[in-house]
Amino acid sequence: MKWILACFISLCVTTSAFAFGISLGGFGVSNQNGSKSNTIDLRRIQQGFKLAQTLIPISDEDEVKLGRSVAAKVISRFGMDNHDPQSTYYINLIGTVIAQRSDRPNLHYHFAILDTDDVNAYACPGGFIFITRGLLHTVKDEAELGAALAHEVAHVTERHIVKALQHSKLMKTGAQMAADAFTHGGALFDKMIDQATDSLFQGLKKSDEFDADAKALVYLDNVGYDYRAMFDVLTLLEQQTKVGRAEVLHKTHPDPVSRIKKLRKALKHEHLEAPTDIRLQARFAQRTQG
Amino acid sequence: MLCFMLRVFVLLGLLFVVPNLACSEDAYYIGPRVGVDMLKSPHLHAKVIHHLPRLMDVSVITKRRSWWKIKVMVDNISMQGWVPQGAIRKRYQAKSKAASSAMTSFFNLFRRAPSKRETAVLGVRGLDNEAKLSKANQASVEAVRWMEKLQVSDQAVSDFIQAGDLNP
Repeated sequence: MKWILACFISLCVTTSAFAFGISLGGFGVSNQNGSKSNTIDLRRIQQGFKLAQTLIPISDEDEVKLGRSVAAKVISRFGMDNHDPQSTYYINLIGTVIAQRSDRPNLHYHFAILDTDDVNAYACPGGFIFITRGLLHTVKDEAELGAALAHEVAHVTERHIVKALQHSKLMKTGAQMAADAFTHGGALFDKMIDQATDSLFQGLKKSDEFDADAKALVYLDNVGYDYRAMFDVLTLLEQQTKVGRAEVLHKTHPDPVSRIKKLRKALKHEHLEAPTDIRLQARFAQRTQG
Repeated sequence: MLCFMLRVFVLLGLLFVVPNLACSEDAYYIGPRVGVDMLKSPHLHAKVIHHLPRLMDVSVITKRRSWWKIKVMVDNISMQGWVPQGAIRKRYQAKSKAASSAMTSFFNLFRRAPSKRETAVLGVRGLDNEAKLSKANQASVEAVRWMEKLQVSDQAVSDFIQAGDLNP
């Protein structure tokens, strides 16, 4: 009889403790690997509701972590062109000069050439930027190459992929879980990588592409290149699309003709000075001979 | 009365501690003092992907007889590979704040049992494909590291700007 009474009292105590716990906050946290936990966390549920109004912040450090993994996926898809280190160093020089005069100069940018003849370029979060060998052989001078790189740098400075990730359903899991994923990796971090890679390969929003074009124009002008090179690159892309060498780009980017139209409008708003004549065709030819 | 109170405490202890032990999620780490080599495929003579030091945290993805496929984070980059089962130790994650709390223990009574994260054993053909993929992943990780190592000096940038007559 005493045992039954003891059991009853114990249950009463634990039940009231449980009720008291609910009123205070939550129970349980996810494990260190960020994998799904079986416990319910009321604080996270509360955070989930808050997410409807606010986006989870992703720091520069976390962006670079994410960018490393996304860059690895890009390389595993196309392979990296290591046969010509001189050209890689050259695009790093151009890219660094542009990045230093961009809206986000404190980030470390890294540039590389992908081993594919398709004409395209990719900007991973955290400043990992790729152009394809096809694009390198399509542009005619340094200003045009700079224009392509400036467009990609603009995607990084404007954090387009990061913003796409922040708006995705994946990030509705809660700020703490996202922070855990960046710190410890795990399944959620893997999903974030996949999500960012999908955004990269399936294409960003059209408005993001137009925005990057307009920013690229300003960056080219900041460096001193002839910013008309941006229009020339888009014209080249249109030609390459017609001959079937920019199929992927055609699928993932707006039509070059509409991009040129938008760029003309943007040019009026930017109030840039008269363009320079700096195209540096000879230096481009010399540095990309290999 | 003292005996009665003791019984209450014993029962409370059982209610709090037992579910916590039963439901705590497993975490794994590298056991051998000298560490272990993570291999590309589950064979003794397979290519070494990375040497994992002792006590490194790992996530187990698949178990295949005496070989376990694991995932680790190396320099913030996720890597996968195979290690012998004997090199992996299991530890309980009761150290997390809430897991050790009595409230959680009680609440754990009402939750579903932790699901075993084991995937189906892959066939030989699947393993071959996985081996190819892991080779590509390893090469990609190295390529990203190479990208990060390639730095252009301020002097080189300055010379480049000057030679091209660009804006300083």
